[in-house]
Amino acid sequence: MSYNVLIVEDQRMPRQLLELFVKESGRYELSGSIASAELALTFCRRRTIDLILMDVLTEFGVSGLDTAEEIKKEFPGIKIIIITSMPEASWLKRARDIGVDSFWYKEAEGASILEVMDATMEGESIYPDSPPRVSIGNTSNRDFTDRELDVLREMLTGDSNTKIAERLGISENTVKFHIQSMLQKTGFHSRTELVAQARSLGIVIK
Amino acid sequence: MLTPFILCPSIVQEMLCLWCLLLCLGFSVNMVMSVHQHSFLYALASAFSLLFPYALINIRLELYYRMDSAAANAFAAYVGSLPVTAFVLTMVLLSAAWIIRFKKCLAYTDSHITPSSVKEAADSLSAGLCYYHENGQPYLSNHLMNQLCFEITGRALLNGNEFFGALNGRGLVELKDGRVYRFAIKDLSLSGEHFRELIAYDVTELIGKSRKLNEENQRLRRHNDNMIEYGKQIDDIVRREESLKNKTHIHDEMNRLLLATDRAIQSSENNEKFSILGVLQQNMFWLFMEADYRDTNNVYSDLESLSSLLGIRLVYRGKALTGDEDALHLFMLAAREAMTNAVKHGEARNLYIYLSEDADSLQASFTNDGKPPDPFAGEGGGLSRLRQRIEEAGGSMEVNHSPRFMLRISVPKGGRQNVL
Repeated sequence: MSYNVLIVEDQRMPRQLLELFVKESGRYELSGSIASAELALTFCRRRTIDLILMDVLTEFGVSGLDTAEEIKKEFPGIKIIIITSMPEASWLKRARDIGVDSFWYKEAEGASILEVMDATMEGESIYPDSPPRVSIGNTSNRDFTDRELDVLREMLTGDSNTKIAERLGISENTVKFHIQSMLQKTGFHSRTELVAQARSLGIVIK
Repeated sequence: MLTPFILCPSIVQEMLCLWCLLLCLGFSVNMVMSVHQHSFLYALASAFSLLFPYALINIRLELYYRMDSAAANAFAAYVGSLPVTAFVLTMVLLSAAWIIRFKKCLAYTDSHITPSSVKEAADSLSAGLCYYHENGQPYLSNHLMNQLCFEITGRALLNGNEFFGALNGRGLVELKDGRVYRFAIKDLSLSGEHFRELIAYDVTELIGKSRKLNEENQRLRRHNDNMIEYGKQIDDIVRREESLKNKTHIHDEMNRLLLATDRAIQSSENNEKFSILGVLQQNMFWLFMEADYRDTNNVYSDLESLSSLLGIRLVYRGKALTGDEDALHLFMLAAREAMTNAVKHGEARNLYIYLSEDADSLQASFTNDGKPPDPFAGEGGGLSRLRQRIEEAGGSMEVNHSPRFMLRISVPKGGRQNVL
């Protein structure tokens, strides 16, 4: 039997590529292909969808993870594979928490999307151990601690250390310490440089 | 043959003295070399061997007679009276001894490491080498390093610190003739003595190759940039081609329609006239739309996907909305709501979407050809959520229930940021 697949991906090229994979596989049927996660739930309500390939940052900034959470609540039977090219580490954890079935990095080496789809439909859950390695300054995203990434993510807002400390429930000195540690690891000279690089590389996304 | 030395012809005496002089010189050399090689016994022997030829020269020069000493006179008289053959024999023996010893001395430098052999080895290195005391005094510097120092500073290498200072911390130094040297310094300490080791490597070839590699890399980068540029453009070109294809298709469609219109005008069937007019309007809409605007495309293609899923046809009128992200997002939400409502409650087959814009806002209204709704029905969850979002964005929303269902939204252009 073949499974019905819905693709949610806002970039034209990757979407067309995914469509091609699904159509050529012979095991999957393309039910729909949309750019915004906003419409995904409507699709699920109207048609039997077995599998969703969901991007995280979709059209108009609608989060694929938020949508996945809604869909999982309403339709626990629908398998969801989150697809992204961003190395933001917190997404992996969030996806697990929501109950997303599998997670796939577009540009990383490893299993192909069809292999992940097959395994997911067989009831397996395929998650990469860690986000793909991305160099930032003299180090890479994998060399940051979870806490440092939390601070870095909060730094994207441009808020003061005091506010960041408040939000994370830690002291201001701890925030300063983490920032200093990250500057030391990367060899960057200012927090602006650190934040700008981290965001443009997708290491943290808010 | 047994003629005493003193009575020999003058020429024989001269020849013997010359021989003696050469031997004296030879033994002196032997003595110095032996001392150098720490064989003091041989040095002593050489000094001793020197005495005989020296005495002979003195006799020839009649020095002893001038000393005014009886013993000296007696010694000179005794030696002078010895037969010349004995002299010659002694000289031959001494010469042989000298040759053997001299050969040994030469062999010693070949088989033993001496300071000069170290220097010689250092000179033959292809790298410049200099060891000097902390205070700058060189212990050993090879030929190449001396030459480098002279070429770089214009002076001989007399102080290691000064020379290193003259390098100004440059690790790489290019000489006038194009050779490039890399300097490396190291602090060493040996049995409590601190000294420095300065080494100069000839990296001319390496530098040349690395420059070439650099050039190649730059060339590669330029090619890469060109490729990327090409990639960008090809995407654009393909999109334009697609857009052109669509426009051609619409053009053909219009042609066909014009023929059909012409025929319809001839006939009197009103229904046919309306349906042809509808298709005309739809085609105009797509023709005027900026087909290569990505976001717009995504919205319309998403709505198209959803409509085909719901089994409803979208009929657009007016000018396609483009550009403004927030407004497009709200438009998409409204279209989704209008679509699902039309299908769920009205069993509609067509959803009509009228689009317009003025200087400040974008407007869209949605009607359908389904059953009119219950005029007393309140606003469902979907509609009230939509109203909330639109009003938060500073827009307005209006719902009419009769004569048929109509949803009208108006969204400000360049709406407040981060509202959604």
